[in-house]
Amino acid sequence: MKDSYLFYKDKLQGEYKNAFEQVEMYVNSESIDELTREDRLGSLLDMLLSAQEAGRPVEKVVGRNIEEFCKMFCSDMGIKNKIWHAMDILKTIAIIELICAVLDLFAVDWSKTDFWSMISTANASGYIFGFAACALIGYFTNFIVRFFMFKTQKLNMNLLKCIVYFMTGVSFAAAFALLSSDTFNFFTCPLWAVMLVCAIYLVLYFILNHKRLREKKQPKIKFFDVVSEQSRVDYDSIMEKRYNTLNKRNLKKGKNALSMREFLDKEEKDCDRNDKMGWLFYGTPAVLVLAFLIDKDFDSTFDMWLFIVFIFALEFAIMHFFFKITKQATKEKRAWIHAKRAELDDQ
Amino acid sequence: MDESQLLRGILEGCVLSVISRGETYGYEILAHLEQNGFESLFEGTLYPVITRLENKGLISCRKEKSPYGPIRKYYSITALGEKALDSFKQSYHKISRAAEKTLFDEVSE
Repeated sequence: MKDSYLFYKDKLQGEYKNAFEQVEMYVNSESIDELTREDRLGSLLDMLLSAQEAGRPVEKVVGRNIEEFCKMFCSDMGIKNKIWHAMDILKTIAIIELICAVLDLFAVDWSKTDFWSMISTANASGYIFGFAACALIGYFTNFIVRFFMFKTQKLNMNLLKCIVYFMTGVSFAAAFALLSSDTFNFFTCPLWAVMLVCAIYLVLYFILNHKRLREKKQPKIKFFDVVSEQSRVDYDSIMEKRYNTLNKRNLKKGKNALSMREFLDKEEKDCDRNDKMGWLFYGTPAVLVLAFLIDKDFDSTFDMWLFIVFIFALEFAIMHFFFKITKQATKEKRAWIHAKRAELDDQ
Repeated sequence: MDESQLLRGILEGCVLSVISRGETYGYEILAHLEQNGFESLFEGTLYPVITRLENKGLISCRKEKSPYGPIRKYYSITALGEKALDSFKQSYHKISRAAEKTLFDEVSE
C-alpha cells in the first residue's frame, strides 16, 4: 500500500531528514515487528513534515538530545514487540520447512519406506544453530549501531547503513553454512515430526496474531510498490530531453523536426507496442526451460517434472515482476502524454 | 528540583484534556500544549503518554492519510476517558490548592 512512510521520507529536508534517519536506524536496531515500526515511524514522519511545513525547528519534535528522544520513543516497545518480531521470522522458516517436507514426500520411493519411518532431509540442529547465529549477529549489530550512532557524532549515517547490510549478509551466510554443514547435523528428525511441529506453530501463530495480521494488511508494503515508487521518474524533464534529442537527430538527417503533438503521438504508439509485449515476458520462461532441458539428464521422471515446475515458477515470477514494472512505467508515461496533450489544447 | 518529575504527573491529564476538545493528532496536540506554556515537550515525551492513554481505553484512534502522505492517527476521547478526565481535574484542583497554600502562603504562628 502506498501509504507506508517509506514513500514519503524524501519529502524531509536538511535537519529534519537527518533526525528522522537517526531515529529510523535506532528503531530498526530495536528488533521490533513490522507493524509497530511502520506505525511509529509513520507517525513521527508526519510530525516532522508538519513541523517542516510550519517552519518550526526540528527540536520542537525531537528535542535537543536525539539519543534521549530515541530512548523515549522506544521506551514502551517492550518484550512483546520483540517476541512478535521473532514469531514473524519463525513463521517464515516454518512455512519454508513445511513446503520442503511436503516436497520430500514426493521424492521418496514408497516401495522402500512408509510415512512414519521417513526421516526428514532437513538439518534440524543446523536450523537451531543457524537461527541462534543469526540472532546473535543481529543483536551484536544492533548494539554496535546504537553505540556508534550516539558516541561518535561524526560517523556518517551511510557508513552505519553499510555496516548493517554487511552484518546482515554475514548472518545469512553463517546461517546457510550451519544449515548445510554436516558437522552441525547432530540428530535426525522423522518427517512427520517436522511437519507436525511446523503445522502446530503456524496454527498457533495465526490464532495468536489474527488481530495483528488484520491490521498488518493495511500498511503492508509490497516489494513491487517500493521498487516502482523508487523507479518513478520525472517525466517532464526526461521527455523534454528526449524530444530535443530526437529533433536534433532528425535535423541532422535532413528530416523535419517533430512538433510536440507529433512527438506525443509517436510516444503513445510506443506505449501501445509495450502493452502488447506480454507474450515476450511470459513466453521467455517456457523457452528457457526448454533450453535447460535439452542438455540435462534426470534420475527420474519425477525429478524432471520437479525441475521444470520449479524453474518455470521461478522464471515466471521474475518475468511477471519485470512486466508489472514495465506496465506501470507505460501507464505513467501514457498519463503524462494525456496531461501534456490537455495542456497543449488549453493553450 | 527536576521539572520533568512535576510534568510527568500531570502530562497524561493535560493531553487527555486537549484531546477532549475535539478529534486531533500528534503535532496538533504538541502545538496546543506548547501554546499553553509546555515548552520542553517533544514528540518523544508525548508518544508514550498517548500510548498509555490508548492502552487504558481513555482515547480511541482512527487512521487516515495525512495531507503530507504518511498515515496519521487521529485521537478522540472515549466515555471512559471523559470520566477519567473529570476525576483528574478534581484531584488536580485539590492538590494544587494544597500545594499553593503550602508553597506561597505566609507561615502563620
